[in-house]
Amino acid sequence: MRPVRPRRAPRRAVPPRRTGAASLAAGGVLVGAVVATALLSLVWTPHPPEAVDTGAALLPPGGEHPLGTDRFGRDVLSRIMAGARVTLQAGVSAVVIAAAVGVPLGIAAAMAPTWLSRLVLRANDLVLAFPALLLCIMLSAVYGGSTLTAMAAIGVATVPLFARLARAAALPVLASEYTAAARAAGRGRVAVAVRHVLPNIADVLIVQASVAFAIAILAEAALSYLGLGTQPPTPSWGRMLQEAQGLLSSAPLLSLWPGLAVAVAVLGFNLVGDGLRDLLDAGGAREG
Amino acid sequence: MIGHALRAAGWLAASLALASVAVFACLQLLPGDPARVALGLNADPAALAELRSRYGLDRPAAVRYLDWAAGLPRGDFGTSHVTGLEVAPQIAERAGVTFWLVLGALVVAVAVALPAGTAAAAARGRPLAGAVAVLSQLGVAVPAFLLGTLLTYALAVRAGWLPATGYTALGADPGEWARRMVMPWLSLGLVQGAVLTRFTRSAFLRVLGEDYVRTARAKGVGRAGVLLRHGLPNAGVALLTVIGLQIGTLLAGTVVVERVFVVPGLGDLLLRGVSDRDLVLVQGVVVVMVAVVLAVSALSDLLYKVIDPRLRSAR
Repeated sequence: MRPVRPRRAPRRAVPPRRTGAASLAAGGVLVGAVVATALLSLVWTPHPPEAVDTGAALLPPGGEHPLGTDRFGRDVLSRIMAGARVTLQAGVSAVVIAAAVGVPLGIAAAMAPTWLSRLVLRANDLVLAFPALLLCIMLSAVYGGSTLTAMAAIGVATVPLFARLARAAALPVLASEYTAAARAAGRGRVAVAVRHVLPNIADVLIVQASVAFAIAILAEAALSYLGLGTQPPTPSWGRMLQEAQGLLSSAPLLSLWPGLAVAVAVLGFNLVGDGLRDLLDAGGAREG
Repeated sequence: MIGHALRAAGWLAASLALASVAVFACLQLLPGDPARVALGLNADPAALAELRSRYGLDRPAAVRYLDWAAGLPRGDFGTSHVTGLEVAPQIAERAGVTFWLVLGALVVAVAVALPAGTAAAAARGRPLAGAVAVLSQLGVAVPAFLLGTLLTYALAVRAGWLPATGYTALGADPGEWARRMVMPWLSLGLVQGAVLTRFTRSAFLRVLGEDYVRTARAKGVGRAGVLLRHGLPNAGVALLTVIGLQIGTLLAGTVVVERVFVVPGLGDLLLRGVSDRDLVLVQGVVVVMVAVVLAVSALSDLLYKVIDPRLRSAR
């Protein structure tokens, strides 16, 4: 997607307001909270997240169970905490897969002859026609639903975003005089790509990574909601919401917690992305 | 212009062919043995052999692909190995439901995004703009299934205005159909509207920074006039592009929303195919969805060039 931002301050001479720092701070707090929760859940949760206690089913929030219990008597807070791990795993692996494949591909496309570069772009567009969720559903028809399938599919679906961005950002760097000087001094293509192109496009890529992280979290939650992502008994936010939906009239809060958790995580990564984009002025990253 | 259209059609045809290869490879080659997927791991060897010969699964993959792909343009999507039913009629029966779902959601999204984005751009630097920014940021973060759940709780469980789930055919009772579609439309449309709002705002702001807008203001055109005459057409073009890019996300969203509200559309059919391990059915639905995404983005690309002549000379 093209960068869409005003070239000059529109109307009046109001100085453009920079909201980057505020976004970054707010996003950082939210992301920090999710990461801290996930780490904490490795060593401590109020109750074992998978422990069933049918005698204590559907307890309201309070007392020993701050967020209540689900219909099997499992502690909701513990499950939300453990669910943060799955969420972060999905995000990290999707972004790592997408960046590891997409960035070299994009830079290579920028350095390649025009026809090859266009071919890569067309291939990109083709992969983009498969939304992450659709790709995941297709793969889970073959392999059955699992966290692994979900993460691989989300990663593959995100590759084109990185490839396209890396290519677009690399082109001006490759046209610069210092790159020409490096080439004239005898540096090879790979050396130029690693020493000159990569550091110069890193800011744009970091913004993209944080946006892609948010997309991956949403996709994983949707897949688990559909029963095609993380399988029980491992707690995941999407699955929790799906299980709670049948109890919407008797225990509505049960649906709220996992939904809120997803929203907080996605909001956090989106805000970090927005803030970084504003501060780094990495206009090449996608808007919206 | 005709050249552009022809070239776009050529690319579209090539992309469709490649996409069908990709889908076939994913669903028929990756699993190794489609017969075993249909019958399960402990299937009787005789039953496996019977299934393979009945559906020609013992033929080379390339032959099977060509056999399947040759049927696609004729509207023949093959026969399910699991149910023995033809796939095409099932898709045809469901496609209309999903079409109306997407269309309604788009209407909701644009109805939200255009006023909200315009207001945010016009009120730049004032509290209203901040409020729109915060709301759209929140809207982007809320998954459709959460919004659907919240809506169900508010409108169905608490207020009792709308039925929580279930579907009535448009042909059977249009009024009841619309009542049942309200929440699916809102769940899908509001989330998309939040995304579009941000683009509308950016498009307006970009235009308002142009020299010709300053000139228009200097010669006495009012703020509203500038927004309408210069902002709206540009925002419209931006929206068109974004919708072209977002159609995939929107279609994927229908799968989730159809599950939340038990709407019998393509997404519901796709999920049934997955749980039945009905690869031919999944293959058919995925190909249709990808074809729609490719066609819509090709069309929006072309429309973009029709509307904005400057882009015709590009590339």
